Amino acid sequence: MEILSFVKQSQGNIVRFRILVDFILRGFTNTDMYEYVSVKGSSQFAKMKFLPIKSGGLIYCKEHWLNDQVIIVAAQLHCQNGLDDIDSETHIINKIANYEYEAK
Amino acid sequence: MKLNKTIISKKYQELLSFANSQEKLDHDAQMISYKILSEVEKICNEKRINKKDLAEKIGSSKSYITQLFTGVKSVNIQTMAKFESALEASFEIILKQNVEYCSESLPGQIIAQTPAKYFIIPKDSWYNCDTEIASEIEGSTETKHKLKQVA
Repeated sequence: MEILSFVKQSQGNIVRFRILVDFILRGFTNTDMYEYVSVKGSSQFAKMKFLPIKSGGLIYCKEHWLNDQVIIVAAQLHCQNGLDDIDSETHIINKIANYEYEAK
Repeated sequence: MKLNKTIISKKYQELLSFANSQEKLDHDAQMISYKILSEVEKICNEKRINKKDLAEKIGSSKSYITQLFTGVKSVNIQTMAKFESALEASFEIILKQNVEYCSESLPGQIIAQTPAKYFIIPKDSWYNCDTEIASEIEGSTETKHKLKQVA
């Protein structure tokens, strides 16, 4: 499912998305909202958490520094199945780590 | 969020605009709660206090703390007082005039330290809270997205 379709799926997701985006742009800290995923010492990846927290969707993000700016790219949607699946998270991170971005 | 100073594609106008003043008020109230909790989490990280310990320190359940941090419930003044006591810290409340370009921009001292941030969903659009920048994202393959940077 595409990220946009997921967000538009329910009013709850839309409200959560608005809050998450505002939250991230303000630089707030809260691992129940936006949690950094440490992979091989990199702090470039994080996940946005939708409700309910253990079974709602996750949007994995990749943060890019561009000069003195941070570009946060919503890279991959993951719908949780209620299990804490470390393997799938590692798989997603490895996948989005290979995404290439080009700034023009 | 003050989004009218930002160019956003139509798809996102729907997502990021408030249907009415009550919806905006609810959002703003939630952001105040998150601002408070963000400071609480920073202190907890410094002092290596986890959510369970925090719950015990303020005499509540872990599920209440979870509800606060996930946004199911908002922080009230009494809980703030409990946080202050439990963390041996004090909230500093400052009401500042908003900076013109963004009604809810970060406080001055944080602007100096925090770089401008942009949020993007590839293939769709992106927007930021700080300046008037937006652009459609080029690129169609899964592994290669292109970001068009606007000067």
